[in-house]
Order: sequence, then structure tokens, then C-alpha cells
Amino acid sequence: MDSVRPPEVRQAASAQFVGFEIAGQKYLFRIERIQEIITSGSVTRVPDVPAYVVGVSNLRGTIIPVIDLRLLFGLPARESDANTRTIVVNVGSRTMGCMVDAVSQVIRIPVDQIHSAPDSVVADGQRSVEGFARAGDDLFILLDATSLLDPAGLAGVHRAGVPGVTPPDKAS
Amino acid sequence: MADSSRRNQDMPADDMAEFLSVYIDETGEQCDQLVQLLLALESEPRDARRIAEAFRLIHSIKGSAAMLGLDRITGLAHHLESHFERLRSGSLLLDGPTIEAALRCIDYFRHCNDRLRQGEKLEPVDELLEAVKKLGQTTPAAGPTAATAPTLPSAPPTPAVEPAVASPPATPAVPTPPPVGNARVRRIRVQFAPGLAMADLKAELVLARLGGLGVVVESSPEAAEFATSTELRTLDIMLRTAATGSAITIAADVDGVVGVELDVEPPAEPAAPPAPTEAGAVVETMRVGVERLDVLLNLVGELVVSRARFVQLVADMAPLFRKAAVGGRSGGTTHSLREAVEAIIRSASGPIDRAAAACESQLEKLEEQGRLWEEGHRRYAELVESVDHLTRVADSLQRGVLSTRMVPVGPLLNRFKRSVRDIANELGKNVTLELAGEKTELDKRMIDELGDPLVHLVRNAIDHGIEPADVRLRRGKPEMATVRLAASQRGNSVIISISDDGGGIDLEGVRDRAVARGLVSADQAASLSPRELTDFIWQPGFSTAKEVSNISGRGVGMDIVRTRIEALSGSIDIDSTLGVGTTFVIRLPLTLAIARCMLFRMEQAAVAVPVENVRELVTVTDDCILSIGGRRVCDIRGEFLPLVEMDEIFSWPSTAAEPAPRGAVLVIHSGSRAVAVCVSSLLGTQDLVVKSLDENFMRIRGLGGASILGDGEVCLLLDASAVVDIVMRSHAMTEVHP
Repeated sequence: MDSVRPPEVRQAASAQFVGFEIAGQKYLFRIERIQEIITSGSVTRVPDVPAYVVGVSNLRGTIIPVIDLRLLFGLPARESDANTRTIVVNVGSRTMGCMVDAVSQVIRIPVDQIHSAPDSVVADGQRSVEGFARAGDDLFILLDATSLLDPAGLAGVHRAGVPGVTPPDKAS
Repeated sequence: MADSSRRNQDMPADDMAEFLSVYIDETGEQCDQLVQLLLALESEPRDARRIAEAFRLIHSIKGSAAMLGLDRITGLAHHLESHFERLRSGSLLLDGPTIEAALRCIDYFRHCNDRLRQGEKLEPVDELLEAVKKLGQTTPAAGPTAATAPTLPSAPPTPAVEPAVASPPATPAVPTPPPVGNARVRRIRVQFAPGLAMADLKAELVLARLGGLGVVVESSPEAAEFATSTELRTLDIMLRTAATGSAITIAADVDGVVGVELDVEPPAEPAAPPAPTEAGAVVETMRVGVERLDVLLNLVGELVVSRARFVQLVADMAPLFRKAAVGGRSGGTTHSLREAVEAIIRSASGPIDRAAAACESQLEKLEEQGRLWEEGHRRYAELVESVDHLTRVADSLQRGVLSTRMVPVGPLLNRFKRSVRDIANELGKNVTLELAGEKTELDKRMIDELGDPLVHLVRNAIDHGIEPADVRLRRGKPEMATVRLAASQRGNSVIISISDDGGGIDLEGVRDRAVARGLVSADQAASLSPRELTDFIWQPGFSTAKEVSNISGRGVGMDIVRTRIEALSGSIDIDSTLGVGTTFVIRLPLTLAIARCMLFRMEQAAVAVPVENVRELVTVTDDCILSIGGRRVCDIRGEFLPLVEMDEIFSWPSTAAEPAPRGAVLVIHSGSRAVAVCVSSLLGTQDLVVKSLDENFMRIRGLGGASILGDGEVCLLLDASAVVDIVMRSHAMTEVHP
């Protein structure tokens, strides 16, 4: 009897995310946005772009930009290591790569565990913060890839610094 | 009357769709030719050869339209044809109204093509039809004083010696049976009795008899197939004839025929594709959608990249094999090793035995390895050969596919005969258009994109460039102005120039205007060079015209012209002399998809420049470099060019600040402007498939895109025109004018 109900509810009210880490903080992208996750290959630098644009890379014949999310969030650069990954994200008609410190596996989080970002955060120019979620012991910041990586929005994100550096301890 | 309502008035039957697209293409081309003929006839109305040719074209349009049951077109073409028939016979003289009416008819035909393409109904043409019908009546027969070529008063009149007799009457494409007037296409289906002996001969007889009534446009099966048909039961014939139905029935009803149907619906099932086994069926040309060619071109692009990769791999393997110096030496080594071991075994006994035996088995393995190496080396030599072959095939394929996209610029240039005439008439100016290099070929896509910019430049030349007649006379110029459109190929570029013999660009006017618009201060303006002044023409909204006329006011501005040309990886330059004329020179790459580039490596990235933008590669000694106002200028054989490091053109994130040792200087040019750029390590030239940067990212000023090298690395492609701009601008800011 009650063995039927809970899965149904959970299925309808949960979403899948890809979790990743930058400078110890855990973030989420919605899985629908993700095309693939690659180990960072050769990246060609391009001129006249902000420092957070690492350069362009060849993804099976298509040229995609690679953005270092550390630098985008105003954090100091860090050498790539064995855990460094590039998340290939589809933003509108564009395909872009995001360099992150590490990627954890796909996570399913019930929708009721996701709390929308407080107005103070959003007003800070951090429109790319979609919300916060707790899964187990971890607190994740859910990022909206579209507004984060929109070429017009990139500059704004950069100015605003790390999204959610001080996430509310108890989401209201 | 031919335009009376009929079964399939205006709308061709569905299965005609195939014919329809052929019709549209053919008629389009014929209209283009007609316009040219008419414009030529306008100045030489007695040119019998051209009249005959025009007659033939009209006749042919009429014939094709009739075949498709496009009665309005047929009717109009019919009356126009009749009028030209009289012109051809010399009983009437070609006059202005005829040309006007014929041009209007062509407009209508083209308009019809547009509508047919969209599957819309054709519009009625009654008014135009009446006008065409009246043509013969308004002009007195054989009136030698008919107003000929009224727009060309200064053209020497052609001596009226020869009437239309000189040249033989052009043979129409289809021999016309006597009653030209009311001929139409009838579809006839002839049924033969089952099991009829000699059915093929009977069918031929039917065709021959029907041929006596008109022209057999098409038969199914065709006469050549009669003998091979297993059983000939029905014969479908399209006959262009004026004969009555009963006459046709009688003609077709030979012995063995069990039924003759008139005006049958065309066969409902799509015609079977022409039997490929048929040896006689040679396809000479084929229309292929551009998008299919684009797919091919993209694939060829990938092939070019993977070919480069193979070449790279083979090149990387070469030193490995060379160093290993396989075959001989390793074979020799193992051989002498084996002798040594055998000597030990022979001379020794006891415990060494076992060690020696172990050595021997190892030695065998080593020999085996050596053989494998040799095998590998032989295979490598084969690989090198294969890669060479692949390279040759890929190159030919690339050239082949590129050439399918190349079309002559002729039709594009010829379109301007009409526009020049119209614009000149509208503005009351006398202008002749000269064309040159119509056979020059260019990528189809570029031809399509060039139309608008060229129209603007031509309008501009006539409106702003060419002076009013009185001014021209005062300046001692011929009253008849000339606009010249010329195309030519130079290496991997195509040059299209638009020149006029008008007033040239009034640089003082430009100077005033630039100051008035606040683009420069009056002081700065005073010191600007002619070239810098000319460059203001490209500023958005910049015009030296006092008022915007309805000709130059509409459409695109000069800035858009330049943007469009640059979007095609081209460049545009102006060469203007006050009082003498202006020439715009457009330089375009032969094709957009693959560019032959010179590659060099910077600390940050590999960078490529299209070879057509590389004027030369020179080494420059320090005493050739001057510093003027903090900017460096380089003396290259007496020509002083701005000299820059790549880092001055682009700013890179976190660049190591040590300047690379100067290797060579690359002179990059766009049109007539050139700059010298220092490069350190050159990698040679390579064909690169141009990929967009902004598709996934953004446009970067100075970069025209990116490309993928053989090893998968992305290299950046310079946009020479933008690079030259950047350098010129930064130099202009600090340059000290003496």
C-alpha cells in the first residue's frame, strides 16, 4: 500500500543534476544542459577575451570555447590535475566547455530539497544562482547554466564574484 | 484566343512539377538573354541577327509554356512572338514602345516564375496583352523614321543600308509546322490490340502520321524503345499541333489500333527514372541543390583535416624508423650476437651451457623482433606511399567539389545592364555599362551574396559619381558616362571592380562632413591624408550627398557594403581621383570554405593567415626600422609600412612579457593597404577548413575564425582586413604628420 506511493511521489518530484566542485564548494548543473564531460584536452588561447576564457578547443570538429569557472568566479587560478574536467554544456544554440576542479557523479535530488535563492543573492547580480540544495551532508549551489554562460551575462557573473559564497545556512 | 480558360489554366498538373522546375530555370535564363538582346537592340534597332535571336527566344518560351498549359504566358508570348516575326521579316521597325513592352513581358514572365515556384496562381495580364497586341498597329509599317533608340542621341546611327536580309533567319529550336498561331499541346493515348504483331512498326507509323500534323514533343515509350518493349499496348504522345481532334484521331488510327484517346490526363504514377542501362541515355548536365554540394564540401573539409593528420603522423614516424635504422643494422646485430653465443656454446661446457641455451632462446626472440621491425618498416614505406596517394586523391576531390560550386559571374554582371539603364533613365543621365571578365568563376554562394552590395555600388556610381550632362560637357568629358564592371581572377582571389568616369570623391567635402559629424576635430581633419579621408566613406551613415535621393537613400549604406564584403572574407578599396572618376575594387577569395593559409606559431597559439593576404615574407634588419612617435615603421624596399608585434594587435590574458625573438616579418595586406607583422616561428602553408568562432562563442576582432590542424589543435585564423584596420588605427592615433 504505502510501498506504492512514495516512489511515485519521489519520481515526479525529483530532478537529476551533475555535481561538480570548485575551490571546495559543490555546485550543480541540471543534467538536461550537459552534453558530455571530458578530460581537458588541448586548449588554444584566444586574444582579447577576459581571463576566465581559457581558449577554444576542438570537440570532434566543432570549435567550442572553454571557460574556467574558477576564474569566472574570481577565484585564483589553479593548475589542472587528474581531477580537472571540462563539462560540455548546451546553452541555447551554443556549446561551451566549463573547466571545473572535479566532477562527482549524477545526483538525483527531490525538488522539495531545492530552495530558491534569496532575493539578496539574486539582486547581487548573481542571477545564475538558481537555488540551493542539500543532499546528505553536502550543500550544493544550483547554477543556471544558461544565464551563467550567456555571453552577455558572463561579464556580470565575473563582476559579482563567486555565486553564493555565503549560502544561507538554513534555507528559508 | 489562346488565353481563353482551359482545363488546367494557370496551374500545371501535379506530375508536371518536374517539368516545371526545368521550365522555370530555362525561362529564367532565356529572359536574361532576352533582356540583353533588347538592350543591345535599343541602340542598334536594325540588328537583324539580334532580332532573329530574340524571336527565337520568345518562341521557345512560348513553346515551353504551352507544354505546361501555362496559357497566360503562352498567349502573351504568342503575341509578342507575332510582333517579332514581323520585325524579323522587316515589315516593321523595332521602336522604343516595343522594347518597353517586351521588357514588361519579361518582367511578367519572371514574376510568373516566382509564383510558379511558390505554387501560386498566375496573375492575369490582360492590360499588357492588349498593349502587346497594339504594337503593330501604332507603328506605321516600314516607317524608316520610327523613333529608334531615343535614349542614345549621341550614338552614331547605324547606316540604314541593310534590312533584315543579311543574316539567315534563325532556325527556331523546334521546327514549326505551318499553322503557328493556334498550335497547342495535346496528349494522345493510342491503345494497341493485345498480342499485336509488329507493334513496334505500327507505333512508329502512328508517330510518323501524327508528326505530319505537328511536332511530336514527347512519346512514351520513346521511338528508340519500341523494338525493345516486351509488349507495346499503349503509346502516349505529346503532340504540338493546331489540328482538330478528329484529324488527330484519324491520323492515329492505323491498323491494329483499338483506341485513340485525346487530351488524356498525364500518367498518374511518377515516371520511372530513366533506365540507367540504356546506353544511349547520356546525362550531360544535372541540376543539383546547393545544399547537397554544401554537404559534400563539409565532408571534403573533414577529409582535408584527416589527410593533414595522416601526413603529420607519417612525418612523425619517419625519424623513428630512420633512427632505429632497421633492417640492416638490427639484423646484423642479432647475427653477430648469434655467432658469439654459438662460439660460447662450442667452446664451453658445464654450467655455461644452460646460460648459453637461455641466451640462444632470447636471441631467437630478438631475431623474431628484428623480422617484425623489418616488416613494420616495409609497411611503413607502403603507408607513406598510400598517404601520398590519399593526398593526391583528396586534393583532386577537393578541387573537384570546389569547382562544382564555381559559377561564372556573367549572369550576375549582366543583370546590371537592366539596372543601369533603369537607374540612368530615372536620374536623367546617359550611362553605358561596360562589362569585362564575365567568364570569371566564383563560389555560387558569393555570387548570391554579392548582388546587393554591387547594386548599391552601381547606384552610387550613377547617382553620386556621374555628373549631370552639363557639368560633364563643361569638364570636357563625353556626355555619355561609362560605368564599368570588371571581374578577373588573380591567384586565389577574384577581383571585381566597379568604376565610373564621374566626378570622383570630393575629399574636401568628406573632410567638412567628418568635422561636421564630429568624427574628427577640425585640427585633426586638416592633417588627414587622402586615404584616411577616403576611409570615412565607410562610416555608418556617412554620405557626401547633400540630400538623400530615392536611389541612394534606399537599400544599404556603404558601411553595410563593406560589412557584407568582409563577411565573405573579402576586402574593398576605393581609388578615386577628383574629376576623373572612382573605382571600387572588391577582392574575394575563390571560395569560402577552404583557405590556403600560412601558419606561424606564437607563444599563445598557432595562427594562420590566408595566403592571398600575405604579400611577402621578409627578414628585416634593425636599420630598416624607424620609430616615429612611439610607433615603429619598417622600410621594405622603400615602402614604409607600420610594423607591429602580434601582441600589439591582440591582447592576451596573462602573456609572458618577454618579446619573442624576431624571426621574420610578414607583410599582410587587405586590398591596397598593408602592414608588417613580426612573426617568430613559421610553420609553412596548409589548406585549412574555416570554422566559425562565433557559432559557439563570439566574434573576436581581428580573427576571421579558427581551424583544426592535423593533430587536432585549434589554430586561429587572422582576418587580414580587420588586422590592417587595427594597426592603421593605432598608428594613426600617434603618428606625427610632418
